[in-house]
Amino acid sequence: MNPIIVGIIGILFLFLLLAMRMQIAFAMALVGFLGFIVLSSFDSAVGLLGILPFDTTASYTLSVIPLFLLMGEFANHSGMGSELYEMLYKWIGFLPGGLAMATVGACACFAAITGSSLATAAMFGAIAFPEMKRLNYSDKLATGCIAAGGTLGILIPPSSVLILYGIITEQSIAKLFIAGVIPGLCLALLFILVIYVMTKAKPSLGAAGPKFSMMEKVVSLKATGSLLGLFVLVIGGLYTGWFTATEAAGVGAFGAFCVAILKRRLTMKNLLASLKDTAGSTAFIFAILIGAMIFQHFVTLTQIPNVLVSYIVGAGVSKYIVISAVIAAFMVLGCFMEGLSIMVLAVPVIYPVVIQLGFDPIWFGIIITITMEMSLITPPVGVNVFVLSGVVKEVPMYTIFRGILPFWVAMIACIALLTAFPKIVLFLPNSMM
Amino acid sequence: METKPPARGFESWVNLVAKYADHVTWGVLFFLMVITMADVFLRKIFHTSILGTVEITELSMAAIVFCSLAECQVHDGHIKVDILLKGFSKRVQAVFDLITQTACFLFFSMMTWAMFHYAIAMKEGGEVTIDLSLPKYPIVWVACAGCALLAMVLLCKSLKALREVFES
Repeated sequence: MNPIIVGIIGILFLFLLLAMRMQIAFAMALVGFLGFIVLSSFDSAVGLLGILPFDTTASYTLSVIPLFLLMGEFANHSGMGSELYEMLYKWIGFLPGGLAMATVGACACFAAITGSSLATAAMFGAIAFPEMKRLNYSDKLATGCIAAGGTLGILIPPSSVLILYGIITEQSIAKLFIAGVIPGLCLALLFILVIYVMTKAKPSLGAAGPKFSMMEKVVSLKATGSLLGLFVLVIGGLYTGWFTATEAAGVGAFGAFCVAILKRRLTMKNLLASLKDTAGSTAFIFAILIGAMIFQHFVTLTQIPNVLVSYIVGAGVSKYIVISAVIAAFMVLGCFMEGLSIMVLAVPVIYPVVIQLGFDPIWFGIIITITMEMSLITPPVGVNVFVLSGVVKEVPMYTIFRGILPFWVAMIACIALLTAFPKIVLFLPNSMM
Repeated sequence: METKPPARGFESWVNLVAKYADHVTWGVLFFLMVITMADVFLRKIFHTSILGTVEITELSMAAIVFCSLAECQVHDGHIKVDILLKGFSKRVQAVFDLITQTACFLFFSMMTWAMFHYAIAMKEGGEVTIDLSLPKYPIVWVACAGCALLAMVLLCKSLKALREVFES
């Protein structure tokens, strides 16, 4: 049978299995395996099934994933996010909408340690929402800024989405991490700008908080110093070439462990909870990775990526129209699927096209990650919103989705900005030592 | 609020083994963090390193992943798209779960079998790591056992779905 037709049938079958609620990782692996049998042979498919899962996981490079996850879990379970929030609350909480701005800032800082959007949204849902509620912030603004701020977790390094992108496309994980810093800060600033504009237009949305003395502000810096120092050590070490990504992850995890002990926050219960949650996240991420690798072998045999490249490049359409269509397609997929899954499913097919059109692979990784962030807050499957609504039970999900809209527009603006000026993304990675 | 019925018989045994396998992951994770940090520290400060860190890390990674897959599935931690089935009756949902979980059980049984043969080939070929000459096949056995355990968890899930088809 024609490999392209087998490929199309395989992709349709995959979507059918996903609609039937099969686990995404298992569906990709199963379809990849069956497709491999059709296009190659049963024996070679079984051989692939024996070798590939073990060889994919027994990897030194991939140890960055559990180690960075562990670093985040130590920070999460020892409640370090609350110190960040308190610090920013004292510095900018007195501004109109200041608490919402502090929440976004704290989300960005916390994301730099945890790399998890869900953990960030859950933590600040519990810490920041009651405080904003106390100052009569509108539910829309309060929940919108937490859900959107939480998404920064997968853009600001360390980020498991960027790690997976690096593995699938064979790009440097260190460069991808460094490339995520400025766009992450840009996006955080855009969110703050949105809050400023909203509260300026309608001050009742978010009243100003109390003012604190300079001494109180300086003291608050001390509490967060170790956490910010850890970020500077990990990312600075990566940027200067002092650490590889794996070394940075090991140092980061051990550093977070030590900080949690020094702050007397790491009880045995917290330690075990951190290890348990890391094990759970590692399991589902690697299951997806194994599934993606088997599926990728099948996709390569179908020759669909090659045909797609020659068709799109041959059509002579503007590359910006193509990239807009790609982003739009990712957004639509993001309405129904979780970001990590879209990444491993679609990137192997679309990546050769994007590179052939002359886009930088690091830039594309960042753009796709922002699109993945949007999928975290887009209805009906906005995972961040689900998590937040579990924490903030008194606010209907509909209100949270409405509150997110201005931040969603800011994300589109960020993508447009980074597309018009790719140097914003590429400046830091290109200057790495 | 709907509560989950407690696991019985075979399922409770499978869940218990999955839980203990997950505890192995916790230990190896902690070990991985310590050995990575120790290696970096020695390399950057004393310009020496722990022999075989790369291969120890690689073998640890396989143990971490395959020992945690089953426990993740016990708690339904593997991501799926469940929004499309939510509108259907419980019985229809159970029928779909029965089909998909049985297919997954068969697939992971096949993967276990394939990895079993890979481990035998590795043992017969005498494949060892470069620096420490550690045999690789025991870790492939561990991976194989992890896959088998995941297959057992999926079998329990499909049996549970079968019960729901008849009970609902």
